[in-house]
Amino acid sequence: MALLELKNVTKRFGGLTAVEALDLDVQEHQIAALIGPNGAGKTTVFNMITGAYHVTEGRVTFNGTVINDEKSYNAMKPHKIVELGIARTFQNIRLFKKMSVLDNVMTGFHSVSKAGMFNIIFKPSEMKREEDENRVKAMKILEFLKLQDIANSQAGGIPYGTQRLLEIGRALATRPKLLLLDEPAAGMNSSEKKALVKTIRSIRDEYNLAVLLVEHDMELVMDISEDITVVNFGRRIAHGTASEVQANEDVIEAYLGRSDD
Amino acid sequence: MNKKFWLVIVLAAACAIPLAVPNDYIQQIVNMIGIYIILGTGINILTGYTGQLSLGQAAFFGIGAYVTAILNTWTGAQFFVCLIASILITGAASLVLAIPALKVKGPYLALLTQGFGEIIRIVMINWTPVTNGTAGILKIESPRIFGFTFDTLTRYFYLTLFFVVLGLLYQKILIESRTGRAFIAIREDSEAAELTGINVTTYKIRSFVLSSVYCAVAGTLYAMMIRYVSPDTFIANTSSVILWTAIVGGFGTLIGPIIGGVVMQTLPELLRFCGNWRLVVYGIILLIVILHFPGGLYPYIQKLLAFFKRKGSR
Ligand SMILES: Nc1ncnc2c1ncn2[C@@H]1O[C@H](COP(=O)(O)OP(=O)(O)O)[C@@H](O)[C@H]1O
Ligand SMILES: [Mg+2]
Repeated sequence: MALLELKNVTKRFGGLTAVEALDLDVQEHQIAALIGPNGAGKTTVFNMITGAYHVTEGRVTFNGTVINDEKSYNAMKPHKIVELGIARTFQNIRLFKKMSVLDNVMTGFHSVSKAGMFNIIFKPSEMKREEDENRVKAMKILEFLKLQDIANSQAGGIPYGTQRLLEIGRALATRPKLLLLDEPAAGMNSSEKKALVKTIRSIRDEYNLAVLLVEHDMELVMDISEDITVVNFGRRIAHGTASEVQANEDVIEAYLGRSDD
Repeated sequence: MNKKFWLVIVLAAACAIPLAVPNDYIQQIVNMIGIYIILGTGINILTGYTGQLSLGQAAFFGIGAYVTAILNTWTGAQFFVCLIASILITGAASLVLAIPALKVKGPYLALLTQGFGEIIRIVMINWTPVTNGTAGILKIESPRIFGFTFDTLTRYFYLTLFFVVLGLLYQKILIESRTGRAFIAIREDSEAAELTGINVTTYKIRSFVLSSVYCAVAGTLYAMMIRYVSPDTFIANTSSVILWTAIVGGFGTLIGPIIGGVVMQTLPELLRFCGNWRLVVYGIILLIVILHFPGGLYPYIQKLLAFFKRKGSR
């Protein structure tokens, strides 16, 4: 059984069909990619997986649980889906800008910790212990991403590429089984991109999770992905390994037709 | 260590305030500063940290004060009973409002809370058998706690100070905790917060109810200090003064409500020499503050202190 399974998923916005009858699987421990030209519907797919959008047709299953389908009572709230084990980063970075780097990661621990408003009064020592533990864990994540030296900087003020890494750090804190990365290399220079490939691989191994990434840098995608799904105008036009996809006529046409991106 | 040292100094200084107060008139203003620090802290949590604008805080302040007044004058209930009833009833009222209100955002939430404030004021005026209408409720007793009666304004100062310190301390611990981070995350980007595993609706409601609990405490303190409540106190203008208390000091800062409480309560008194122009000057000063110090006064006071520290260490 696949970890994540999209079956026949369609999303319409009024008259516009952003995603149409899409099938997509991600296996446990796999690095998979979803690629396609701008406007192909990739971010919309992420939004349906995370519960931000309700699917118009079809269903999304994660680890055997239906998390989103056309019957609205089956659609889970985004924060519940995070608890189940799906975390994401955003195409347009969405950090908590006025918080410190460390606090951004600490916020990621929300769903895996407990302390509430009354613990301050009734269980202060328990709360302090949880807080201390989470701080240590957060620092470990920052060290893993080599961000430990800027732990106390304000998140909105650090360089762009570093902000992308920090978003990954915040996502890792939720202890995901599946990590969705929306254009993680955007705005990075080539050495940062090389480092990113290494980081993604080591995240997969260290945190024992699956990765689904959307990315425009083909070199990076072909290098890292074990399974690639290509979409164009919301429809799947190819699926397979890097070499299979690269040889596909429809893919060549879709990309050559839009050599500008 | 250093921080604790300063905390003790500040607390000792606060305890000594009544020694410097020449008369009851000024002591009452000082006590009102305390009450407004509590109100300002409440809205600071809701608006400053969670990013939810409320223009109806006077309603919760009023419910707290009226519950206290009614309970005390009807049954003779003492301070702690009144306080707990005030917190429970105000909290329940805010929960009833929060559930529909927090589905809407920004200006709509502000309008909804403002509307709620009006409704509560009209209830105070018209539900005469309970609230005694526009005449208000007189002869509320001074608090008696463990046999000690807080019947002078100086004594009352210490009772107020206790709750001010408690309220500020709770704010500090809360904001630096898991709950506080959830609040700030919602303010910064509520969708990203939800996708980081935070139940945004629940946490907005918590913030809303908590801010109303601060109003309830302030309401009980107010009713038992003035020993009289009437609908005139809990008007829309009071809601804006509460909001300004948090804005002037610095929204989303721990110390902001203290600065705001002092400024908002003393400024109108200092401006008495302006006669009829008092409110105009008051308004202009507030406008200047918000235009020149968009983050409130606290960040600037911090910079000033840092400047003197550097000078001093040379
Ligand atoms: N919330 C929305 N409302 C209306 N149209 C949308 C919305 N989100 C995405 N779309 C449309 O869906 C299509 C796919 O967008 P998107 O998923 O962002 O593409 P990609 O990420 O592949 O570049 C685009 O035409 C976009 O305008
Ligand atoms: Mg996109």
